[in-house]
Amino acid sequence: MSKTTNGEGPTQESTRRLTIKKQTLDDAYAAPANFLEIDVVNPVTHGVARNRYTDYEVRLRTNLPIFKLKESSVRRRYSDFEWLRNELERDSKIMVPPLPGKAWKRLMPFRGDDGIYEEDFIEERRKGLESFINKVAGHPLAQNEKCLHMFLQESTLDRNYVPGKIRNS
Amino acid sequence: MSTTPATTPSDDKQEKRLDESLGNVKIQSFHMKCCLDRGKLMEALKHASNMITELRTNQLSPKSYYELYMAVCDQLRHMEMYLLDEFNRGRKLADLYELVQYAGNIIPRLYLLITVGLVYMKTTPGSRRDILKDLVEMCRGVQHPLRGLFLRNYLLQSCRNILPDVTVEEIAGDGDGKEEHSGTIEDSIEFILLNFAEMNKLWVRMQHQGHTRDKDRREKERLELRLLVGTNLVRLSQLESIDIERYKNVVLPGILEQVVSCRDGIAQEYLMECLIQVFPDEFHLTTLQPFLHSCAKLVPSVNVKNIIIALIDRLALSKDIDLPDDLFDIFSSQISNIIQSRPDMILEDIISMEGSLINFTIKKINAESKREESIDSVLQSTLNVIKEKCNKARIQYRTNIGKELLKFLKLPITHGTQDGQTSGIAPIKMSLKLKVFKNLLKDVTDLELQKQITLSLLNSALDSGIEDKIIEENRLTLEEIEIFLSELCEPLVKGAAPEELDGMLDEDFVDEQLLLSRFIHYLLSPICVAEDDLDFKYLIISSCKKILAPGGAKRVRFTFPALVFESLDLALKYSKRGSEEDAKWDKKCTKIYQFVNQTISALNESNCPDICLRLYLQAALNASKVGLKTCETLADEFVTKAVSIYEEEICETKERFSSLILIIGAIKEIDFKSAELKQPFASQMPLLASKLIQKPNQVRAILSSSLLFCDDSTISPEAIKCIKKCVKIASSMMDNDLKLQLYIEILAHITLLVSQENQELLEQMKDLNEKILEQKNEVILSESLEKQYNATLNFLQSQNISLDK
Amino acid sequence: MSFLTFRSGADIDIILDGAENRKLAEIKSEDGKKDRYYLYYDGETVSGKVNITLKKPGTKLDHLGIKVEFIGEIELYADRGNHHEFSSLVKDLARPGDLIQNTSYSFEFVNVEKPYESYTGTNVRLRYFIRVTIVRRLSDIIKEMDIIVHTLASYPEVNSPIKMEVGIEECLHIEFEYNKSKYHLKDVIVGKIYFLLVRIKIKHMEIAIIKKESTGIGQNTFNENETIAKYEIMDGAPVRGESIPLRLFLAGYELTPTMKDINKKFSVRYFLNLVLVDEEERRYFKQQEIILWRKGEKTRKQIQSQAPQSSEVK
Repeated sequence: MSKTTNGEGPTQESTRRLTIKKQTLDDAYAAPANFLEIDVVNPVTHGVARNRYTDYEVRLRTNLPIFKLKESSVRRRYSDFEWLRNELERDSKIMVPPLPGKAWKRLMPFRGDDGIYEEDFIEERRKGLESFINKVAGHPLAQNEKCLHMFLQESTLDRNYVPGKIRNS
Repeated sequence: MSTTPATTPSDDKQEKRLDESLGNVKIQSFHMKCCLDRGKLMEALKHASNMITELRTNQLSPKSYYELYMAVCDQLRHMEMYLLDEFNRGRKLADLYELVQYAGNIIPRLYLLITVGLVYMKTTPGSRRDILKDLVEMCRGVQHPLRGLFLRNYLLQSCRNILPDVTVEEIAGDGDGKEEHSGTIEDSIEFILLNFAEMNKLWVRMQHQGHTRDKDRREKERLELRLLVGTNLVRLSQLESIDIERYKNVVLPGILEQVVSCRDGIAQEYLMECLIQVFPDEFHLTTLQPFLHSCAKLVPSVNVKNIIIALIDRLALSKDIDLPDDLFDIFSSQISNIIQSRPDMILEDIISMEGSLINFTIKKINAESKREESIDSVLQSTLNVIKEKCNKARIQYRTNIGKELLKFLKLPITHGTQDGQTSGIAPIKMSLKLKVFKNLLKDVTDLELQKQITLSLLNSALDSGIEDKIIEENRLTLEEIEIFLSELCEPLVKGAAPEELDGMLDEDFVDEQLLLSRFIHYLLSPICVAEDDLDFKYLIISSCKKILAPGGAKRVRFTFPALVFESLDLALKYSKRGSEEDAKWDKKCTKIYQFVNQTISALNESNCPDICLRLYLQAALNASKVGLKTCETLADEFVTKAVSIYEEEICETKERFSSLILIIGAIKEIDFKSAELKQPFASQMPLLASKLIQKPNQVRAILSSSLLFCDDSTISPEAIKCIKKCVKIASSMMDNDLKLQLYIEILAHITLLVSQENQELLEQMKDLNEKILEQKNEVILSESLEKQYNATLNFLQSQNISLDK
Repeated sequence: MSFLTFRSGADIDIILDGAENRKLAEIKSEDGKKDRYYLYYDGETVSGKVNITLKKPGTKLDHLGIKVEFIGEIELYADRGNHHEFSSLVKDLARPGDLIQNTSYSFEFVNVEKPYESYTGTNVRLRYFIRVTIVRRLSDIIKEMDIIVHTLASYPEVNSPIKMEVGIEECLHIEFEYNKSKYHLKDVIVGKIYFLLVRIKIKHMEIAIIKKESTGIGQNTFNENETIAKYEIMDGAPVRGESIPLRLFLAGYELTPTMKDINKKFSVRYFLNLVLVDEEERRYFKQQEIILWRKGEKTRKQIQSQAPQSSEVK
């Protein structure tokens, strides 16, 4: 088809496009295939004295096929997150984001408050952990690591597991 | 765990962010305008781009974003005006469309491209087709739902006045091909449909943005944005070159395809209603099948009934267009189709959908028989659905379904008549004409719901009263009356009556029965039967009795009296006709009295002797006035029954006194010619009176009975005997006040008789007066007694009767 | 320039023939500014006049000869002072002797071969200039005049589109298409990006034009990447089946033709870099080389077509 502009319209070049494939209606209205939502919630402090620790519920919802369960919930403590981070750092080539700080100061004795068991601190840490795990779990390469799946979806962390990839096929 | 959302701080934040953005828009637009004033277009574009950059934010709620968007659009209009001026002054800006595409960010780039594109399209119509296509395609680059929706809305709003609205045929004449590039209606349709599809996609996708926990809020926000998407449909509806054919073949399929496929409740419900609202009735009429067919395919969360009702109501209100004959059938079958395809649809919705169909029938089907047939068919399919869904359980009045069904059932009976008559007998007539109506009422509803319909039918008849315009066709046949009473009024005329509580009947029950009794009168009013059709009236009365009698004592107590009164009235009317008009009038009257007699006897089972007594007396009085040969015998018989009820069944003191007074009055009124009949009653009355418990009552009753011994010409000795007896009783009273009162009453009573000179009576009066005066020394008279006494004295004085000894 | 001429006894001016009608072109100078010089093409004759003006009229200026040179050279910044002349033509204007008055000489370099495009890069410069030298015993009086050379190419015979499917297994599959593989400098890149699978949370997509300049050879190669253009083409996350259009005009950017292994000294190549950025700012990209070439403009086409004709006549 030849174009007859009367000279004042935009040049032919400036409206050029490639013809595109028509999207099917099913695709157009399908729910996005990238749903992944991880909440770190419900912190609970257990035990007393030296055995005292706080853990959090790590609740996952997704439609990504790489995750065995579309919904899962496990309880993890800070040191578990540290473990995950170390595993990823060692085995994958990704830049693993940092964890929220260790709060050494809060671990000092003779504090007037509850140290790392203060509500405000737990909340702050919770947010940090949530942001961390969402960053990590959304990473295509991290998603290949066994440790991530165990961390998110298996009720107990087996630290003696055999590291490996799960999407090699 | 607290779930209260922290609304205030985030609202504050929103406001702050919005203010910041608006501030930047203000600054950049100021610079933009300064540059334009100085003719520095490139600089101005740069500032415009900076200004639009504010719309890249993802920090604002849809509401705030909208505000920002409006501010930016306002400013872009300046740019547009400037460019238009430049173009019109002959400045060539051929590469401007290219130039703005250098903007590094897509949002500013596309807003500018649209603005510039619009200027081209306005000044160079030959560029329209290409630019329209280009703009709507390039906007694909914005996939972010909120930003994409607003961008495409800007596109749509900008192009609203330049969308080609001519057909190929209209421009074919010129044949130089130029016009083709300025576009045809086909281009506009393609443009809007594509824009609509993309916007709907973004709108639907918006639900997936952000955290699951905010889904509710998001859906609310999504709803707020619906107009953005709907504007596409509005635009289409404003294109005049879209005729029915184009609508049917291109526009509607294009829209429905998106609506059905998006499988999103909010979008589907809104867009379907939007379609109904924006396009004209003729279009809907031509496309009912595909439209309704699509309704059946909507997701379960869509309230399809709202859509169907909106459509039906819309067509029901249509004016100036001819509706096709098969419209009802189409609706009807498509509604069935929808019900079939949506097994989860709740019954309330089904019923209200069918209701709108009835509404349509009433408004749009003029031929009476066809209309009733149609309503019946709606009733039938509703009945079927209810049966299927309820699985033999009855619909309870006090449920939502019950309320919906009640509303539904009232539709045909309150609005189902042709000349807008929605009251009087018409609703009842309609309820009987519709074959399925009573089935629906009897088969699937509980008694309470059924009763509500009955009451509403009765009330609508009675409220309009007998002054209503008489429409003879609306009168009920005897068969109809019988069906109505026995079947439609079943909840009122049959079944277990409520238990009495402390001797009192349930108030509602009483009201209902009273309503029924009023209705009996209504049935015999000129609305329902010709004034002179006495035979028919008799048939009605006796039918009523047959139907009401099984209702039991507690019911007939309220309804039978009405039958008795109507019967007696009928007897009077027959008697007025006399033998010249109706040879059998006397036989008919006799039959009526037999009927009356039976009815009152039956009523007497209801433990209401007071009513029966009065009715007997009424019957006696009535019979005495009818010129039958047997009238005195009949009256005698009725009075005798009343007396025997008095003697046997009336016990309460007050009631006995007033009953006796009534009996005496009736006997006096009947005024038997035959002494043989009269004498026994006359002599019986003082006896009965003296048996009353309270002396004042004895006195008063004996005084009344004394009148039975008097007539205009004579005062029989028995009358004087009665008066003496009264004085004696009064004298025996211990209470001086009462004694004096009775004296005064007796004296007053005697004045009734003084028209005839009677020495004995005069003596009596003098004695009595002496007693009064004597007594007055001891007792202070009440004001009213004093008045009565003075009035008596005055009267006697006027008759020249002196009580002085 | 000024202080050189100040000490000497004469000013040299070079006036090119037809300068009034000759187009000027811009080029970046070493310090990043833009300079404008006369524009020449390969095979064009470079001719003109050299005017020598004595500072003090009446005084004589002795010299060991006057010459004019046409030089094309490559300068690698890493190798300061070492200029590689790939083209050097000399014409003598005067024998050694004395100048006693202002003098004017004509010169002509007929149909000079100018094989490369003038270029100023990060680590390298390719320049053409005319140099007039009055050779003297102590210090020569020198005047240099830069010209710019644009190398024109004809429409490529083969110019197939670039089409490719790329992705991260199970996470992201896209198919992109650019309408050509060779673009002239005023061209427009028209393309589309088609999404087959999107399991990452994409925030936006951009396309960048990256210039890769490599200088030196072997071990001593320096590579310099420069992002010439960054162009956002998608905002938000698409779903499967979405096609995003791309239209990128090149004219507005500072681009040169692709230069491969120029005189074995350096190369300049261009790449289109398609970048997807996710919500965590992770970038997923695919680079694809495109060939840039300079197309003759309409007015120049005549010259271009005349030049070979005239050389053929010779």
